[in-house]
Amino acid sequence: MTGFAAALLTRLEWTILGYFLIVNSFYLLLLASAAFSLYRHSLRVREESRWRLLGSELVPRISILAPAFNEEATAAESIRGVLALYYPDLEVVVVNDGSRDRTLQVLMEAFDLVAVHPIYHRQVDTRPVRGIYRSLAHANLIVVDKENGGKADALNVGLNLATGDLVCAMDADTLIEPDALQRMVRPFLTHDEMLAAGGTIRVANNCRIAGARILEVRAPDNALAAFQAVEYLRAFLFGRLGWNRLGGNIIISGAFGLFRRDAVLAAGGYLHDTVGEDMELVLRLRRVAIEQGRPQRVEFVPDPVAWTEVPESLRVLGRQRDRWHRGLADVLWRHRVVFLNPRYGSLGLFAVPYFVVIELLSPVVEAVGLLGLIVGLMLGMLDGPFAILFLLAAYGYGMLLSVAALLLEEFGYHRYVRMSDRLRLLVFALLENWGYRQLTVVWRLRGLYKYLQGRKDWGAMERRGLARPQPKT
Amino acid sequence: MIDRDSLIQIVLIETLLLTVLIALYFAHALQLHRHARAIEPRLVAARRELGAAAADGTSALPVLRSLPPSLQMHLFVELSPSLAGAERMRLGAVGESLGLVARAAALCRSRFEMRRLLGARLLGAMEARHPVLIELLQDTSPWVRAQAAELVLHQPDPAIVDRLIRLLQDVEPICRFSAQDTLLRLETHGVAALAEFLASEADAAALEAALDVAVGLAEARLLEPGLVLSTHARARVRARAAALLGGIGGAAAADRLHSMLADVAAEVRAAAAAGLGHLGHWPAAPKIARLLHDPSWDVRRAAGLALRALGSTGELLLRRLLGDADRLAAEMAQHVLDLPHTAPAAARRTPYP
Repeated sequence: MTGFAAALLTRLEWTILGYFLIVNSFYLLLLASAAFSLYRHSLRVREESRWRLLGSELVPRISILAPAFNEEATAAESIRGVLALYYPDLEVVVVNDGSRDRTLQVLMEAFDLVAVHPIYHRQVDTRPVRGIYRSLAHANLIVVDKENGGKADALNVGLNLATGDLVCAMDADTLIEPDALQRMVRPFLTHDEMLAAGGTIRVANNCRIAGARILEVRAPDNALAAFQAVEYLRAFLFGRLGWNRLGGNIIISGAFGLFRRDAVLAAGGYLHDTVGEDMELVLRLRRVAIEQGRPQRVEFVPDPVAWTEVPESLRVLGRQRDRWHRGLADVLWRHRVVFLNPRYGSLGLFAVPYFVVIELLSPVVEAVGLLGLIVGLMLGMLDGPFAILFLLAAYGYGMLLSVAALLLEEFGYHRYVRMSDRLRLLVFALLENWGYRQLTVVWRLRGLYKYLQGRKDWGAMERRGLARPQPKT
Repeated sequence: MIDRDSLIQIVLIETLLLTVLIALYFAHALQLHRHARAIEPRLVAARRELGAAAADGTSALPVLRSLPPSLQMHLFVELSPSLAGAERMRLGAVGESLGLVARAAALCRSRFEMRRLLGARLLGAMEARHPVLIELLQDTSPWVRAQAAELVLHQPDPAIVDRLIRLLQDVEPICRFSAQDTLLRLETHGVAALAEFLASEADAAALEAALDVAVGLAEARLLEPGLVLSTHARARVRARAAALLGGIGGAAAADRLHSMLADVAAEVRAAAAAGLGHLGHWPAAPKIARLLHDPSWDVRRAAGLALRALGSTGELLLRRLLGDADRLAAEMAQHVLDLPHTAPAAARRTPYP
């Protein structure tokens, strides 16, 4: 019996080791794809002058949808930053989602709002709208006050009221770089079949910010935020960009994404009853287009950047990762018909299976692998060399990929100018796989467990706000 | 289980790879740092020289001449959008004297797409009227064609306008967009060719692209093709024709728009209402007011805004609609009357998709 158990455990651990090798090798493929895309992209935009777009009468109108809930501390500054974006035809729709604080009052005072009769074209059902306000100072600003219904519901209200060809969903505490929309609109001018485009999200913690603008990029001083900075670089610079060439982009970040408005409305808007509404929308858009025989394209554009605040406490970060994983599980289950279905082309045969086998199930595999390794070592069923090999395949290889992501950032963008910041990020890239990664496994497992239990809440997010004391120089 | 030597080899390989990655990381950082220290002061000085040369034609440019051509070209591209008129021309002359125009033209003839793209951008930055730009309008790369279409703005001769018109039928959206944008900026230089194209048997998609330009120009010579296209079989073409007529004005345009208020397609009715509002054609007010009962939301909204644009006549009708039995019409009238004076100007330029 013991012999059988040992053989089983050994076989299991070798299988999991093989899984890690395959997963990390796939990430290497994504990295290669991303590096090539970044290189081509850098050549294509070399010495590009986007000033013509600024004065063009033909650019598609972009409506920024900014849901706000209890944002009295930051709403006014955030919206001022959005209104100052360099884009010739911009509309801003702020949706106050039943805030319990003074968010609406703050906006009314800051932007000279007057109430207008609240009639609008209700193309997607939402919670009731209590009021619509227009600004005397900013002709392109609309503020909507509604009963609380959650982020998806607020975005749907925004969709109903927006008049733009394209809509950009953003989080209230996201800072978009001034020329980001000019860069992000590019795929829509290039491809008629474009449904959605996403840009890079970077970590704003510890950056010097004033007037809703990033004045100086700094690496986070908080360890958790620094780990996340590395993670975000890896996720965006080689994860999303790598998928461009492989046709598998199914996530556009809810913090910063550009969508064709008519396509989103035709698909029914954002779903309320999921915590993965951003991923769900993209997958649904692609799926509906394929089912209707229409060409469809979702792209990640590497150079438009938005900055966001990431959690600096274990509790809040844990809730966030738990929620993301629940959202992932929910979305993949809702669209399970796509899985390995040749009707959906690369989406069904490649992208969705990747997200199921690698993104969704990896915490389970990793947890089983680690526990099995520990048990095996304690019971003498596995030896030290095997353990070292396992760790090298799982975490050593992962460490290489994290450092490679930093290298991609350094060669492609070099936004971190100070040597001390570069060094800091490198240290956290090296340490990421030895502790932090295992924490995320626990949180994702918790998320999966909660999903299986039917939990759909968001949990409370605490934000310090991006307008906070400046970092020490 | 595992051969010790193999394990050591794997550890060494991973360590080596990690070391190489870290070394590259810091090597690049150091290189940027050194480059910034060495080059940045010279770039600042060269920038100042170039600005002065563009402002008053200063020809002694010692620091600029000492920079490598790639940096020189970068400075031209950087400064060019900030200049206009004579300053821009002087900038081009400086580029010519430095041999950069010839260098850029040579890049435009490269067999590599990205080099041709770069060459085109550099020629554009120096506003160089080089014959190679015309060739690039037929380049195999859509990026290069689109860039060339942007840059021929300063060469408004008939052959170029003709090429731009042809680009309106390009398979690549980015080329069509660039051609449209340039034709709009060429203003009257492109009108005759555009009118001729609109009167031709071009396909509907190309006509839509051309009409988008025509709407922006709203020139009297475009009236005749606008009237003809207002009866086109495709609604998207008719809607744009309505927008064109609303921009040009005149009795014939107003009459046609009046009849288009009853078009079968909602987007055409909306465009016609918007056009009449833009023209301030108050005799159409009662018919526009009836459109507040239209089944289409977009038509109702366009009609409401059009009434508001008609001044006191339109406002009177809106106020009468406040008590209308059709609740939607009454609410739309209330909504439009509530809008602050700035809001209608921020409404969509074109009430059609």
